[in-house]
Amino acid sequence: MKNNKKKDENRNKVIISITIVALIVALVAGGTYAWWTWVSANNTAVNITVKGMTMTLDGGGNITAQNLVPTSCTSTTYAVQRQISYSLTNPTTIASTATIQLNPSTFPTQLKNSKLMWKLTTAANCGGTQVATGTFGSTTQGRVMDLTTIAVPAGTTTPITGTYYLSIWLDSSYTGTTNVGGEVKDTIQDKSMTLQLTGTIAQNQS
Amino acid sequence: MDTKKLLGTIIGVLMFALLIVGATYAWLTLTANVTNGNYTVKTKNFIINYAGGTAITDTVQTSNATTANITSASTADGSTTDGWLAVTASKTAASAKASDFTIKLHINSNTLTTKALTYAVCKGACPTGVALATVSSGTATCATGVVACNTIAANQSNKDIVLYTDTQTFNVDGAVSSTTYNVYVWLDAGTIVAADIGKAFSGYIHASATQGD
Repeated sequence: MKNNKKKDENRNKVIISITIVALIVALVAGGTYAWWTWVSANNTAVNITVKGMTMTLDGGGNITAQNLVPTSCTSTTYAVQRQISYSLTNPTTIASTATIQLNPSTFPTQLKNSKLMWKLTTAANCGGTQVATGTFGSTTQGRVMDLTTIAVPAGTTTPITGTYYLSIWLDSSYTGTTNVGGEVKDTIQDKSMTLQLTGTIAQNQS
Repeated sequence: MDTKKLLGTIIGVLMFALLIVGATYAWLTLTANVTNGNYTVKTKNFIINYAGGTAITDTVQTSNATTANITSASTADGSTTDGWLAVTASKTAASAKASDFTIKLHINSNTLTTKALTYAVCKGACPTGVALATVSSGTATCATGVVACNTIAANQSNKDIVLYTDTQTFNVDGAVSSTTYNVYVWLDAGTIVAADIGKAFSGYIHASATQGD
């Protein structure tokens, strides 16, 4: 009796194995079998557009030649004064953060000085409230500098707009002269730099 | 289930979980569209091209301090006095404007017992045939055409005195033509006393300028 039970079990195993193999073969063979098919009469549309954030910046006007001499942040002659306007949207479902940046695309090492400074404020010529400030003491050519960030909530379809005022100046507290022959000339003099306004907007990682 | 199978299952589940978790780290990051945002600036230089003139090693004692007397009076050894020097200065167009240009006399040591040592400064040529300054009781009065004059106090050392400050010439953008300031030095005959004989003055002329706005 025990032997018969074992024989039945073995036989079942063989039948199952054969069935599985046959199904696999059928699956692989595919088109060689003709089956009844049915297709739906109505098609449900699936149209998806990937939504993205937008960030536009207006830097207030290109500067091709501006002289810097030791001065104060408020100088309109020897400091860079620019109005920066921004417009931000975020129609996605994830909150994002916009970062306003400066790319020092041309930056001689002689200008790497903590007395070469920048400031973002809420009014022109270094006026109003300070938003952010920093120096060019650690600046390296090509390495983007973050100025400030702006939160852009999820679902922002109406643009968030605003204005900042950027001042860049060589502070009047700068000291440092190098005598070169009969002239008093500082190594920081006669150096050009190009700063490109840029920015990114990125979804906040959760 | 034996240990190996259990371990394999756990590893498989973990890897699947990692795959799912990893697949969710794809966040949107976009670059801003920027206009009018290129700023090219240059640090200006501040160079005053300067020549301080020839050293003064001797000067005349006179109460009639004309340019001729100061520069050509004969001395006992047959030389002529040379109580005069010319300071010249200019700046380039690329140089920031200065708010002033100052000529100074640094006194190393002045052992004269009186204010007999007198100076006069002219911007350009000094008037000829007239005393550049007249001295009375230690106070100098400048002649017309002399921009600065004064007597030098006695018994001083290690001190700067301002001979003349020009607040106009270098206070412009652009190039400044070479400008000459003539400095004359003499001993006023009406002030000097016997106690001054053997006394000496030692110092030097120098100049400075401050960047303006």
